[in-house]
Amino acid sequence: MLEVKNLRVSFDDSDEVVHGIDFEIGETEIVGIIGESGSGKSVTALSCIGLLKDNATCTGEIIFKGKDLNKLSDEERRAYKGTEITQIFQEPLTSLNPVLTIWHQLEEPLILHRKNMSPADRKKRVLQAMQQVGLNDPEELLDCYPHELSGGMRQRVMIAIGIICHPSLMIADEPTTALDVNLQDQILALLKRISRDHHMSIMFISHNMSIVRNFCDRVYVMHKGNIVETGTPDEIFFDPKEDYTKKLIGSIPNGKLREDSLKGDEKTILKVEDFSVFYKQQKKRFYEKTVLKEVVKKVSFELHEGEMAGLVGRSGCGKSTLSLGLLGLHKITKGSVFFEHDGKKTNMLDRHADKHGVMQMVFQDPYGSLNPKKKIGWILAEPLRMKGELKTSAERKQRVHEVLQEVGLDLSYSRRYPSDLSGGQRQRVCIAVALIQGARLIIADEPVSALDVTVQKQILELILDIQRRTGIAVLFISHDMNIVRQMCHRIFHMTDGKLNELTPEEVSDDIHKK
Amino acid sequence: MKYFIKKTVSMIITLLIVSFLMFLVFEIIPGDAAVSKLGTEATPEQVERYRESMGLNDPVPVRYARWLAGYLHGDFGTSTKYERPVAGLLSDKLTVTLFLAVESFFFFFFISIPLGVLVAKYSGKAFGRISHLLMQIIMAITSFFTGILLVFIFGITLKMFTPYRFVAPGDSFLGFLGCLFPAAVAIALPKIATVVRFLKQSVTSEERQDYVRTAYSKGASSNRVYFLHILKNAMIPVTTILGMILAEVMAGSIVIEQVFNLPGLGRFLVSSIGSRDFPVVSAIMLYMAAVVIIINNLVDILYHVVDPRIQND
Repeated sequence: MLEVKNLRVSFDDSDEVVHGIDFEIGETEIVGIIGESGSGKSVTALSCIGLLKDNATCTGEIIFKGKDLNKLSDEERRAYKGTEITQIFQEPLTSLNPVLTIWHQLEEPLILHRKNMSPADRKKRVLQAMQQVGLNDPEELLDCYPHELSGGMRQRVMIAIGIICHPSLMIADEPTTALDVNLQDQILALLKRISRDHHMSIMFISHNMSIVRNFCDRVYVMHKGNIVETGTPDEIFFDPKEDYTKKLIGSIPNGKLREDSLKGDEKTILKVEDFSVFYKQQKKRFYEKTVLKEVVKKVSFELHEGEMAGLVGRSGCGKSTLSLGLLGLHKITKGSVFFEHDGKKTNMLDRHADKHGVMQMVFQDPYGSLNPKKKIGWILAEPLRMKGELKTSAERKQRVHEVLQEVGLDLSYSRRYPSDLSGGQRQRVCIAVALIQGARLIIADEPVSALDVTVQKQILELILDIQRRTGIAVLFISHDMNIVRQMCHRIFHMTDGKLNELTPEEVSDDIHKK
Repeated sequence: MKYFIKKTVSMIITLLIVSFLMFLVFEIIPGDAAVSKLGTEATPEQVERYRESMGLNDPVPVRYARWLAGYLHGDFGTSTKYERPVAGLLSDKLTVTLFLAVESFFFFFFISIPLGVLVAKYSGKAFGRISHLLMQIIMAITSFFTGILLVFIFGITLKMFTPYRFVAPGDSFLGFLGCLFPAAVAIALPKIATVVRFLKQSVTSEERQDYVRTAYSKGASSNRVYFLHILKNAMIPVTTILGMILAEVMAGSIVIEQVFNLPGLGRFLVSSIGSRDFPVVSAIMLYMAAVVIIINNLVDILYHVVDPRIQND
């Protein structure tokens, strides 16, 4: 139904990002395109539907139902968008217009493409489409704005917009990446059902290998603007031919348990007792008393030197709040958090205690957590300057270079800006910032979830390597059970602010469930 | 609705506080109303009797209450210069200022909003660049100079209107609106330039949002995307500026009224200050304060209409 021949896309007449690819999608077929960021998969999708920006040049043939879309004028092409070919996007909140009601946004494709439809018929079709995507009580939702809906509902609304004109092809660009795991499954099941019931093909773009494997009929692997391999999911996953595909498949966390274990006589490094963290709840009337909401509920645990402890849980369960609380970055807390090292005890909740270099944090987003206006060398030296132990700049420089080597970057990086670095390199710098003060405990909050699988694997190996070499303790926060399992000695599970440790049986049980 | 009531109550309280401060200021300003009324030759007994009869010896809160009650009944006191009720003196001037304000605001609104979107849409093209440059030039020129320029070009050279002729609204309403128009344009031009620049920036940052891509993916034309999807979002930050501009034009422009020879509030205020006609001055100042407060509150309420994400509490 869709046949793409020798598609080339370049921006500003210079950077070619897609180098002449060929692929095809049959009727009611679900075709996956996998690749890492920068592989050109999103650009390919945008050129198929015709949403490339003005500065992009697209050559080649895009034959849809026997017609070459690339030869059509913008005006003629608009007749296909939203009716024959539709697209749903990664982030449903930002992809919906925040100031228009759900009704207006759902009705729009009908206004544009079904000009002779009466308002009553439009409403009927809108309600029908909403029911098809599993939105109950569609009448009540019509007057809502996107921010009033949950993430899953928003993506359902997006899908409803996508199917409202009965398209033949839907392009789904990472439609579940921004959603929680159980929501992901629901949305994927929904897409599959719609594809079957309405004879709609889906071009499914993702970097998540396991989703593609279960969801797609056929898979294309993209790398640096080329399609390197194609086949059924089983062929790609169990018998990859190309080197790149092999590397890609090899990087997927396989969920093997960590082999080495602790000796059992390690000293306690962090002792947390009945620790609660509160948020102030918004007051309804100004004379009301401020209500505190307990986000982390009476958590007690201990971490030992050289231990890698995992913390898993759904988004919103209080993982990040707990980690900020442990560092003393939350004001309203109860209970006690003590850090012990070399016979020195530090109360982490005491705002005046000297906490230099005791505990450090590595954050999820390596793009946002480095000052874009400063060079890497400056960023790394900042804690040293504040601490004041190393007086001369030459001494500090020496230390910066040591740390850079430790995280696998060469010395020239100290003269670069964060924007010159890739995501993985930035995360290495973030780890270096945590290490430079000689921290004995690092809290890593989803350190690899913003990274591609191959880079993810490198960073995880780096963390493991550093941990084995220096014997520091790590609290590793993640939502990906497979990663946590292969990284950590012990795993804590957090639900609704409460913490419990998983027994070894529960940990291995989880593998079989997957 | 609850928000609306809350906002109205807080607005009334603000107005009361402002009126009290205004009253206090005129109390503190040196000068005795009785002496200035009776002249320096009056005996202390005469002054005292006059003060007693006019209630000038009552404590401040009592006099404030009396003054406020008068205002609420439409009695703004008596002008010391013209010896006529202030309300009557002001009504003509207020008509001129209000209609000038409405006219210039309409002109301003219906030019600046579409122009702002178009300048953003064609920002890389010749149209966008030329308008951008033009806006910068207009913004740099003060409105009274634009006024003089307009009078010279369209009034004297092209003879499209008779400069400095004022038609009272009672004689011919259309003629009245017509004679205000050049002044309205002079007031509006620099404000158009400001808002076009601001809206352009707002639209440019909205252009990059994901929902714009979604709109295009539905097959919407670029005009529909710009004027329906983007404009509604881009207007949110611009709303504040629109409110400020509306308050500014409603308060009357002293300079423009002078340039175009219009008998509006601004000119009247200047001449009344000169003749120390305090009842008139306080009435005009209270009007200006009220306009600013009311419009600011309306803008706050309008925010909730244009941006549904703002919580109503």
